[in-house]
Amino acid sequence: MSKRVAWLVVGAALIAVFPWGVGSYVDYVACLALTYSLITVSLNWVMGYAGQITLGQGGFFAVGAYVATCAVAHYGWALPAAIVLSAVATGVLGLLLGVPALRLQGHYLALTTLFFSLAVPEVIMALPSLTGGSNGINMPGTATLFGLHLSNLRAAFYVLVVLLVAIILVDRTMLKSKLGRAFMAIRDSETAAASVGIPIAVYKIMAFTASGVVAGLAGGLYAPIAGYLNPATFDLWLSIYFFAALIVGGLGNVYGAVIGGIIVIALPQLFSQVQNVSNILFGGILVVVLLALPGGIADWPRLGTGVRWLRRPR
Amino acid sequence: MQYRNRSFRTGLAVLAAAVGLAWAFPAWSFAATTQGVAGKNVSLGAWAPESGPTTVLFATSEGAAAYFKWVNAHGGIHGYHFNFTMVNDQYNPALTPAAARRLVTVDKVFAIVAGTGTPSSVAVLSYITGVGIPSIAPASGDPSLTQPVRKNIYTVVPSYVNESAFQAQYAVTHLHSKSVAIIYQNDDIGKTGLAGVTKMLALHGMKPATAVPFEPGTLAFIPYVARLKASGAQTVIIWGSIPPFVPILKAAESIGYRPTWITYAFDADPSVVSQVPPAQLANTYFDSWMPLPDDQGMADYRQAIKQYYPQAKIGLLSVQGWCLASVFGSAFADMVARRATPSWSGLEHALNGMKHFSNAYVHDLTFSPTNHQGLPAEFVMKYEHGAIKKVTPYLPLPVVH
Amino acid sequence: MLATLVVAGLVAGAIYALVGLGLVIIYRTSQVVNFAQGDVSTLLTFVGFTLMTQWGIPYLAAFALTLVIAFLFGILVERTVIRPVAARSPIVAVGVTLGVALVLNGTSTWRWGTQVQSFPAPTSAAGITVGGMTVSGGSLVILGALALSVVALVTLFGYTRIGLAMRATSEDGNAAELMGINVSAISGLSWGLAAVLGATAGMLVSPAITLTPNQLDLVVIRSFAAVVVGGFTSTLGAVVGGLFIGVVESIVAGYAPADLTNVAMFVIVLVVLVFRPQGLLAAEETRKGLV
Repeated sequence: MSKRVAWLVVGAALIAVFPWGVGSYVDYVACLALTYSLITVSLNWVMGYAGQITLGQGGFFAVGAYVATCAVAHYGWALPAAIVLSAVATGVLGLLLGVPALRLQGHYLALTTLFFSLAVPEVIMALPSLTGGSNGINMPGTATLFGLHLSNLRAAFYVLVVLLVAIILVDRTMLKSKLGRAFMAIRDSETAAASVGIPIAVYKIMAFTASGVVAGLAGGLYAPIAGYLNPATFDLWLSIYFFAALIVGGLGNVYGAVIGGIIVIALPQLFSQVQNVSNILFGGILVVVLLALPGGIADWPRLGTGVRWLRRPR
Repeated sequence: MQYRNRSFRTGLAVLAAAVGLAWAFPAWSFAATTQGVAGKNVSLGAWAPESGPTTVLFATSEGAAAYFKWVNAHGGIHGYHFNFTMVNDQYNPALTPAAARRLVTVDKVFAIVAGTGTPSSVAVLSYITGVGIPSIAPASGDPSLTQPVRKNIYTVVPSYVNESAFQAQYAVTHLHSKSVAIIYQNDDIGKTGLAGVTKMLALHGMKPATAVPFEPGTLAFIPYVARLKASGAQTVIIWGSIPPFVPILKAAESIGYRPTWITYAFDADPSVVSQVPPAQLANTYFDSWMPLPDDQGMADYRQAIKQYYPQAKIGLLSVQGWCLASVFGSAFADMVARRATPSWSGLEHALNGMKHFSNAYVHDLTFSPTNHQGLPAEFVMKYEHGAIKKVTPYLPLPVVH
Repeated sequence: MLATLVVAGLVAGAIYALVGLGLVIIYRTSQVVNFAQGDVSTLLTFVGFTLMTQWGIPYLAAFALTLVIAFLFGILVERTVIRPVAARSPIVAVGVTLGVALVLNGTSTWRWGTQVQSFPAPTSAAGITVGGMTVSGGSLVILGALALSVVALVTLFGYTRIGLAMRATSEDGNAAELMGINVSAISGLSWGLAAVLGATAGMLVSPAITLTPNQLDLVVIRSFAAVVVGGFTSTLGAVVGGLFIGVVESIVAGYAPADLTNVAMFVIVLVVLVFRPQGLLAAEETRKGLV
């Protein structure tokens, strides 16, 4: 057996038995972590590969969760169809959000996407008859995904793992493809990319759309797992956390994105009984990582050096 | 191939480590007869907003914790001692399910006492009900906690919709107000208040003179009080968390608007009212179900806070926690006084048997299998000559669901 | 009522402008959007609060002392965490400021978060009455502080050598460096100035409200909106943008049936971003958006 296969088997076995050996507390935290990892991976497509700064994943997550819940709760949709609807809705939103990306760069784009993430909970609260407004809304317990109740955390865990693996495979394929190379060309130098005929606008919008779809999928799955949604969850800080998760885990690295998502969730849980330390700690880690390990945790062999491709010509 | 790539192996190693770490978490359960009771030691817990946007409410959790520490220091309840664990959910309803599961499956508590936070408590409602663990006196008045009645959930804090109806009723029947307005925070708590006020006014054939919502976090209130002034309202009911109260009254003073204000007890805390213009305070009424921190019967509370949780400060927030915890204590005492070993059904039986129960902490508390909203009455208070005074006896809380 | 609303809006807008000025100054000299501006201001406000209430230092002295601390703190932040990364991509710079924001927010909450505090007012004077409408003393101080800051900044940028150096740095950092300007010192200076402006705004807005660690969250968002409207590179733009948003918000809050203040702000920002992304008062910039 080659080393590679051995690793895969060990990994798969560990993951398979994971939810059975730990209690529902760790199961729930793990599901939350996987959801966050999914979203961070989608963020990586836009920020890590295409180089477009965005603070909008929180908004996509919220839309995905709410669209799925409202479809099931108010219109009686089956859960799988509702989740597909979520993905479509957030994909469209991603497309729309990509449009400003064509005209704005760097900090301006960051601010625009930030305002998007701020606007989403406002819209949610402005439609109380549909979304429950600030009272929140429950995902009906009858919703099943192909016969699986996602409120059963073990089932949810497996579904999320499968989805995450699938998205990682998509990521790997995309990276090697023309699409991936185009993204990175755009990230490294837009002018150069344009000069060799890459249609910048198309690819930028594709990056945003794809990231929107995945974040929306994650939201659609999160809703039945958590069972209850409240706009307070989807606040300004959420998008900041996704951003930070990617940076800490490793910008431009899909496994870094996964690690980052896990850390964002796991860290506060480890410290949940110590006052406020988790925020300070997390912020501190973010800063330290950016200063010392610009490639994030996944890039640890390069500790101490600046990552060359992050430098842009001034 | 890319699988030999370092980052892939790193990722896998980290994943394996994480899985191994999680495995090490002491989470498997060996069946105990009743969870949370080991001999004469009882584990209790609650989710608490130790960090996050509303850490002022943490004083309530500390008040509850102080109660149990004090009980332990005074021989326990019939020899039973209590270990009260607070788990931080950051007032974030996405994290409360984790906190709740931690309490139930890892800390294996016997009961949840004084879980703090409305979105938090609502987020775990179905989980807690599904597990069946008693949740006693959550620090929230959200109507959904007792509508419908759940076997294991008992509330002491009056339902917000009834409380706001009480305020409106007081305005109409006692203050003889012809026009009542409401200014409310644009979130679940504020909107519940709006519902209660509107319903009660409708029963008197009235409508709110105006209903002014404001975003949580608003700092500039002049436009909002200008609207209240323009509506000509004689009485204004304020529904929000603690921070907006002072700026609302200050803004009103700056535009020369002095209606009668009605708001909830926590705004009566001395640290809050010391910031309020005296002319406005003179017209402000506070509704409450709690004893005042300086009451004679609260001597134990004062001492316990000073001794165990000085940072919580003597004040109505920690008083709330203390009183809520005491309800559990009274029910528990009742249960074990009959020589029953602690059990969920025993606790529920004791709670449902509480009729017109009054002590220094709660008044006329009544539960039954069909009513788990314990307090039937509140009173109104006001500041006079620099000291807070009750201006009514206990008046019945309307039920306006 | 309209006059009351307009004046109230100008006062609120003055706070947004003060914070926004800090954002603009930093952006012009280090090309970094400081997402930590609000949390820096809040932390310094708490410091001022501690000086005034726990150490018993009289108001004016404590206010001045806090500003000095603010200045030094701004320089400290710039020197330790910003300077090493400023030359790198915007992603890194944004990340660092967000990290700083998290750390400072956590610190404020940890140290002061669980209590209900009140911040002393600059004056208990009743204020002036114009045409039947009273403008409180506190409001006048805020407006005065803004005016003073604008005058000070205009003088600084227009008539002092340091100011000239700052303008040179913001126009072209490389060229300025080549000419012997100590760009990193200028950078530190601007972060210090921004912290001073933020601390001023924080301390002046606090008396009207109850001190909480997240109090400036809404203000900072408005300040960002103000700077987007006015233009990231225009100090005058920050002032005009801030006042404009404050007044619009006030009028909307006073007349709209639901609380549409946030919606109004989003609409304004959206319109500006679509039609004139560099801001109303900034000079026309290259398609790349930022220098």
